[in-house]
Order: sequence, then structure tokens, then C-alpha cells
Amino acid sequence: MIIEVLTNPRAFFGTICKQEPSLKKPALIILGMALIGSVTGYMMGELSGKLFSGMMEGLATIAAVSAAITTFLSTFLIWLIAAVILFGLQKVMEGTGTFKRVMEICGYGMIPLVFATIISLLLSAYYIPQADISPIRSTNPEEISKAAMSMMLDPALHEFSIISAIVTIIFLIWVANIWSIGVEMSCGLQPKKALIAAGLPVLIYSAYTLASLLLFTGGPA
Amino acid sequence: MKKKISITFFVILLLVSISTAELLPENEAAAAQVQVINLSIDPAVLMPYDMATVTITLANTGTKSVAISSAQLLSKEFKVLSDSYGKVGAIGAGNSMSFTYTIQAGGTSGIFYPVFSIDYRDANFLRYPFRVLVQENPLEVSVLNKPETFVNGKKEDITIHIGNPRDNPVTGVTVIPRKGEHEITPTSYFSGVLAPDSSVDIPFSVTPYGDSPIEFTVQYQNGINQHEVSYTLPVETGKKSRKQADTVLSNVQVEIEKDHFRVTGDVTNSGLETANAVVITSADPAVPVFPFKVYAVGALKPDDFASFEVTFRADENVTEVPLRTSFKDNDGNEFSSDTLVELGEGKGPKPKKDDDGFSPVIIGVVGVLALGVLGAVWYSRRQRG
Repeated sequence: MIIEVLTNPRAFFGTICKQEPSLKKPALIILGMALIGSVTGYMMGELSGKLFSGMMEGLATIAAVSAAITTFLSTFLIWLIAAVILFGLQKVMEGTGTFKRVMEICGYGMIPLVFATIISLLLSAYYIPQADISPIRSTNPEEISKAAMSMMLDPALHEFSIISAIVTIIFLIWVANIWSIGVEMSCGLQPKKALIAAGLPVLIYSAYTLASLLLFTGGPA
Repeated sequence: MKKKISITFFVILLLVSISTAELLPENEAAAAQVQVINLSIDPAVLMPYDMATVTITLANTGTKSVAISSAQLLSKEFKVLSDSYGKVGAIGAGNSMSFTYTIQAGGTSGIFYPVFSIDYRDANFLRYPFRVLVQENPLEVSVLNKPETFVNGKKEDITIHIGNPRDNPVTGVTVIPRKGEHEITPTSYFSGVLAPDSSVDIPFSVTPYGDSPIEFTVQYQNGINQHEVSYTLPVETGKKSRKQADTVLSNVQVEIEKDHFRVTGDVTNSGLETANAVVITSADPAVPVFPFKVYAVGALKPDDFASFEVTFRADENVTEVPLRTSFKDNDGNEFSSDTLVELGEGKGPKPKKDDDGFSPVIIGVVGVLALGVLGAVWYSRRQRG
């Protein structure tokens, strides 16, 4: 079934739209993605916590666990936000899909992001050990800000951020493709309108991600 | 002829009678009125081979003048350097007369009795033995207080104690230190007269440079005789004082940062004096780097401690780095000590990642992913037809 979503989404959604919308399987997909993502979040949180480890004992572990939980929850939140945006856009395009249906489409459509998350995990396992983070010992906000900025400028983390973002954008194209077919099949939209409804948020998100990278990390490594 | 012989006989008889008349009891009685009323020796007590002046004063307390043929000083133990008094003349009634001699003591000490001898012209003679003391005791020199140990370049106060064990005072007491490579103030000290059985304390400040001993020469005069006595003060630098401040590093932790090491720990003053201006840095083969090239702790009282932090770079093959702790004492003398810190083998900071862009492998993987996704999208779209 999952393979059909990726290889023949039109047939998959053609079958799905004839059934009552169910969020069970999409939720499992998002859960898998959240679990994998939370491992990456744990690693990044541990790295960030190391920055402040000089201030308090065990801060690195607290930061790592917090980051893992945040990543886990935010994955579900992203699903919800994406569904809300997609639902709104398909409504603007005069679509007929219900929110539950759109959320179901959205969940299935995020299957490529599971791969992106796995690749991000592998990338973080490769890049994070290379990062050199100096613990901050001062409580001066200016020095903390400087140290945080220096973490962003760490060559390994910089490279990881850019590659991770590019991989995510690549897989978002796939996601947009699945969403557009899903919306077209399940919400009665014209192919062009469906492509706009699914592609617009991905395009805006991709532009925002690239702009953020250029702004905070000073461009490509 | 007989008449001539008779006249000559009478003349001789007259002369004999006249000479006999001079040794008459009244002349002896007049000579007996001549007395030694004063005798002074300068210096009062001699040292072996010392020269002294002896002044003897005679007084005629009688009513008749007494003629003195000669006066001399006789002694086996002393050399009489001045001439004898010959043809002195007469000492009138109620008058006095002084005789001064220069004598030199021999090499032995003890109590001696030279004799002052006067030959009267109309009487016999006067012999007057008097006591002269020869003592060998020189001045005693010692150090009253000195530092427990000398430290190179650190000024210390010492006190030279000089005592006079002799029975007479000595004059012109002067202490002259032979400073050599050291700094000593004052360069000499004039104390003057030192009475018998008394002493004087003379302070000196010594800043040693090296281990050569300091010789204190005490010069003094006994009368006109110059004498000196020396005292050698050993100087041994480099030894630690029992009270001196002593810095100890503990709780030392080495952390590896981006391209340098960061060492943190505590510095404790385990000495009994305050360590001022305590500064910690790393020494060769380490190269101190910012932010903590040098860590200034400040003053540490005995048993006080403070945290420190230093940052430095070191080559990969360096396994130990000395941390140099320096401090100053209350006089501003600087002391330093090194503590070796183990860095651990092969645990050096990682070299900076080259900023030469992404690796071709990563670019290739991303490219393949992009193509794969585009292919998947194209394939899923193709199913539509």
C-alpha cells in the first residue's frame, strides 16, 4: 500500500476516496517519522546542551531529551498545520474535501518525508560528532549570543544544515506531487488547481528554509 | 818636694771627703721624697705585638732638690722603642717630672712587670716595677638574626652583633661587608667606641645574587694599633623558606576545544605567607591563546584558594604541558613554579575543517536523491496516462 502511494498515487487515492476517511494509517506514518526525527532531535539537543554545560550539571541531557520530545510533538503539529493550510487552499480553489480527508491525504503524502528523516538521521550521525562546541562559562547574555552564533557557524553543522535542508526540499517536491494528486482525486479539484494548492505551501516553505539558511549561516559552506 | 806631696794628699783627701759628703744620709733622705705619683699606659691593655705609651710622673715631695742622673725602662718581655732619659737634671722641691716611653708587646699574652729605674746623682736609685696586661681577646662578631633561607633577589634584614670581651675599650669600630655580587646596605657602618663587656647591634640589608658568602670585616683600634676580625655569613639561595607562600594546583581538568586546550582548576596557597599577584599561564611547549592566555588570580592568603582557567595550543605529539604559577611576596620579589598537566595522547584538538565546500560524495548523493525523487514524481505522473 505504501509503495502504491509512492509509485501510483493516482490509483491509491482513487481507492481511498471511495472509503470513509481514516487517520489511523497516516498517524502511524507520522508516528514513525516522529520517532526517527526525535533521534535526530536528541542528537542536536545534546550538542546544544553541551554549549551550556558549563553553567549547570546535566544540562546537556536535559536539552537532548527536551529536543527529542519537541521534535516528536512538532512532527504531529506539522502534519496538522500542513493539513490546515492544504484544506484552506483546496477550499479557496473550490474543492469539496473534508478536513479529515485532507488530513488523511496529508498524512499519506508525507511518506517521502520519512525517507528524508532517515537520511537526516544518517547525516546528523556523520556531521554532529565533527562539530566542536565550546561550553559557555559566562552568564553574560552577549557572550551566550556570540557562542550560539558560533555554533551555527561551525563548519560541520553549517554543512549539515544546508544538506539537510536541500534533502528535505527535494523530498518535499515528492510530497507536493502526492498531495496534488490526492487533492485532485479526493477533493474534486482540477489538476492545475490541485498542483497550486499542494505546491504553493511547499514552495513557500522551501523559499523560507533557503532564505533562513542564507541569513543565519552566511550562505553555502 | 815633701810639701808638694803633702798638698796633693790633702787635695785628694778633700775630694774624697767631698764625695763621701754627697752620699750623706741627708741626700738619701731627699731622694727618698721622690715618688711615682702617676703611671698611665695607653692602651691600658695591650694585644700581642701592640705598641703602647707608658707615662710615669715623679714628684719631689721633699724640701730639697734631687739630681737625677738617668731614667730608663727595663723589661725582658717588651721592646722599649723610645730612648732612655740620660742627664735628666734635678727635680726641684715640690716639682714633678714625667717620663714617657713607647713599648711594644711580644707575642705572648699575660701579666708582665717592666721596671722603671732612676739613678740619682747624690743618692742611690729608684726601681719601680709596674703591671702591664697583654690580652689576646679580639672583638666577638656574630649574627643575631638572619633569614631562614636566602632567596635570589629578595632583600633580607640581618643584624651583626659585636661584643667587646676585653678589659679596655676599643675605638674606631667599623663594620665593612665585602659584598661581592650581592647588594648590601649600608656599605659600611661606623660604630666608634666600644666599652669593655659591652656590645653593639648593627643592621644590614642584604639582597643576594648567587651563593657566594658575605664576609663582614670589623676594624677597630686598640690605642694606636689597628686590628680587624672577620665573620663569614654563608649564603645559600634556592632553598625554600618554611614560611614562604607556596601555590598548589588541584582539581585540574583539561578540556579540548575547537583548536585549543582549556585547563581549569583551583590554586591554593599552602604556605604561611600571603602570595600576592598570583598569575597562572601555560609555558613552553604550549602556546597561550586567548581568551585566557594568562589568568590573574590576585592575592591569596595562607590556606586560601581560587579558581583559574587558561587556554593554550599544543602540538599533537605534546602529552604534557607545564602550568606556570607565579606570585610576589610582600617585598615584590617574584617566585614561580611549574606544574605538569597531562593532556593525554592523541586527544588533541581537531584541526579546523577545511572550508573548501561540500565533499563530492555528498554532492553526488544529493544529486542521486534529487534525480531519484524527480524520477519518482515523473513515474507517478506517468501512471495518469
